[in-house]
Amino acid sequence: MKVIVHRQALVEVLGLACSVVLTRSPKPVLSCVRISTATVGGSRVLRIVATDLEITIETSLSQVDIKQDGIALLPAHKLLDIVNNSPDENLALDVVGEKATILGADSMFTLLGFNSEDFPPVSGFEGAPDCTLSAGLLKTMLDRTRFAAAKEMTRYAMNGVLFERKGKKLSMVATDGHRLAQARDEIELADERESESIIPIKAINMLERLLVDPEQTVQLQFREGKLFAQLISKAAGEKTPSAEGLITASLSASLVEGNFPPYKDVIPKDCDHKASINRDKFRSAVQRAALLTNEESKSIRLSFGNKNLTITGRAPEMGEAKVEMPIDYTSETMDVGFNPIYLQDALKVAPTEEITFELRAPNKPGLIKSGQGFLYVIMPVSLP
Amino acid sequence: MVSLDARSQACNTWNEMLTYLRQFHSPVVRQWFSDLEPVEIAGGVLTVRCQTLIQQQHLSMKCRPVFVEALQSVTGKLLGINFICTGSAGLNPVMNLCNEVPLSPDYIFENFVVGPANDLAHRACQAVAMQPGRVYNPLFIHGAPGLGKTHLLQATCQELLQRQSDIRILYITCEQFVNHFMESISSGNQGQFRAMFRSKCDVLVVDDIHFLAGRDRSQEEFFHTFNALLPQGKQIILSSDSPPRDIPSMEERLVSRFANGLLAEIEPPCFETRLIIVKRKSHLRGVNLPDDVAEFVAKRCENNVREIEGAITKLMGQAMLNGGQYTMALAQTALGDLLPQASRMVSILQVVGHVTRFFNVRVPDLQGKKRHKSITLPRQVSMYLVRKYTQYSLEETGGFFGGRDHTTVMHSVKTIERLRQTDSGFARQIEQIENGLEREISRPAPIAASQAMS
Repeated sequence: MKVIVHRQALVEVLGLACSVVLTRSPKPVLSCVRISTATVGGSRVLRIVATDLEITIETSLSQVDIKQDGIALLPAHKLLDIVNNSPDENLALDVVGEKATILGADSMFTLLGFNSEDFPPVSGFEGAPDCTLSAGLLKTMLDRTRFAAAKEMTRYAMNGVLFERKGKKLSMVATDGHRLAQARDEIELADERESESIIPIKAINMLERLLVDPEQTVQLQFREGKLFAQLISKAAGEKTPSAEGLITASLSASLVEGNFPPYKDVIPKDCDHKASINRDKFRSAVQRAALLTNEESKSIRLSFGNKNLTITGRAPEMGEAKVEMPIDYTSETMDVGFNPIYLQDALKVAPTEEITFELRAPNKPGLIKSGQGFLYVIMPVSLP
Repeated sequence: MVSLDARSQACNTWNEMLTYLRQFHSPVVRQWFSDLEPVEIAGGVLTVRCQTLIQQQHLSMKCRPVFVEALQSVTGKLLGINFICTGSAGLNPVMNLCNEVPLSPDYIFENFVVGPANDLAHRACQAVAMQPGRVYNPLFIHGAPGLGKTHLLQATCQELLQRQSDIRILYITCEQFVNHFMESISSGNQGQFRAMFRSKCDVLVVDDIHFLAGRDRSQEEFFHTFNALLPQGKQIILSSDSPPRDIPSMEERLVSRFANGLLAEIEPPCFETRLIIVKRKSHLRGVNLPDDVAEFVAKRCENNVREIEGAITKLMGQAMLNGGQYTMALAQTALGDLLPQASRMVSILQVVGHVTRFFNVRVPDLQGKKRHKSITLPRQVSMYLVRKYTQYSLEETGGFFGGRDHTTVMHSVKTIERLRQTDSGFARQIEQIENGLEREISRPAPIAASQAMS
């Protein structure tokens, strides 16, 4: 294989690959990326595949001049280090057998690789996609939910985002046992099938990194306990991306087995105290009140009064904070405690300027709604 | 495998939840909740194991929201709850055939209060549960609404399932039978319908069979179903609000077939039985009523058991507001408005009998045109009490008292109400009459009727 490649572009795709590939692995081939030449949609590209057996990503690099076809299996992190530290604009990659030579203006690196036959087989899309949506929509929905997924590894079914589809209706849900976020929308191209899958958070984060261009189209397929996703760019002269378009990246990931918590039970239905609040003012008020909170019991007090919300933070040995703001609220007064971080997480992604905050009692979960597409349930904390 | 630690954590949470439920949601609490076994809290869900599929169905369908609320309040976390069942009695595929009527875990034989009024029906059901298809086939239970027909039917089903977990029971209301039948006609899928009813079940239980009245085609279909099942030795249990012969426009051939097995009637329970029912029902909800309160409830609700259930729910609600103490005063405020409804059985003659005896006047005088004070006052009192204790309308009441206008009745009621508040001596008199009347109402009906006549 003999190619000349744009260095900065190579850094980007190798960066993506390295976030999948394991740094240390009992099988050395698993710490490698597979680099090969290919033709996609009529143009010559360099294809880079990385896997940790759970997640596989495949990216295409078009800023390349291919002199001679070939295939290579090279240690991912070392290759990235070499390419990243080079001052050149372009680099020449020359592979003979298992040995690669990377040539810059003033440098020459020789890197020992492995036999490309040893790389685990990679399965991809088969047949028609289960659903198709724009990369922008998918990214928005993921951003509105993924922050709420459980971080500890013990809660397997919650270490992911529930992807639920009924015909055209698409819903994503994530929860960590303290809060729950749901994003809903409709997709255009869909059949009447219903599906329900839990995508692990690592795959979600990876997928999110691939969604750089909101104009692209994403095709998804759920098959044999796995998610397959591919990103398609518009072919030249086309209005919408089609199957003939250029597949720029694809991802496959094992889904989380197990049952997602019964989230519909958790969404409160009979909240009779409703407040309408300006999102940005609320976020700023929460942020300021949280400056003076105790490290152990991070909580702020929200006092809902007539047309008025008072947010107070208190750190016993430092002092107190009090922020007031006008809101649209006419029910009886109520004091509720919340973790300010959980509140801010939701306010960061709430799509509409006005949000509604629905409550029932100080010890019952609160519900934040923003437009049709976003819903957030948050458990209160007990006030001192 | 669930670790010991996780299990004890789940147990603690569960116990706290039960305390919470008893405090804030006492109407849903059942005694058998203590049989439920918390397994673990994992993946955002508390898993609870039930003893029977019936319990699981009941909890999942009816109690989930309050359990979620309790769980969240106790833990302060956003958790859900799942009810599972791994018992052997649980896995019965045909039970799911008619998921529309899940069996209630409350309706078992142990919870059924037996008295002289329902002894026969109860024994018959137990016998059928022991030997389905051998004794009493078909078993036909009839009685007024709210006396326990459904309870007996469901208890029989559950007993059958306990004895033989693979028995195929088809428990269905008559309305569903009719609906399924109509559906099968419109979809042209009668074969499936017939297979379901004729060859896929060992026991067919149809509740409220009187719903077949006037539905000719459904009657015919049921007739054939009946004829297909009986020779195979399959048990059929039916319930109705009246004996077969009294169900209007029921085909003769069905009537005779229904009467072919055992006809068991359930009559309204007597006071003693009602008292036991009150105690049993309240105990089931985790409340122990003092004797005087229980007697009061039994006295007030005399027509059917559903009223008793309603009264207990009301009492529990009232008690929750007043700090959980069940006192006579509480019962009186909680159940005060039950009186006019419950006393449907009081006749005008009974009321008038008491008034005439008290004031020493004659009934014809009350119905006549005399307007002396000695007559008008008893007349007005009678009207007032008739309005209070019976269901008769203003016009009917006026009609009885010599064809008087309904406004006259209204005026009388107002006058007496005012007098009762202003004149304490008069109020005592009225109270005396009312007490006499109430004593009589709480006695069994036949005696009461004969007294009214004398």
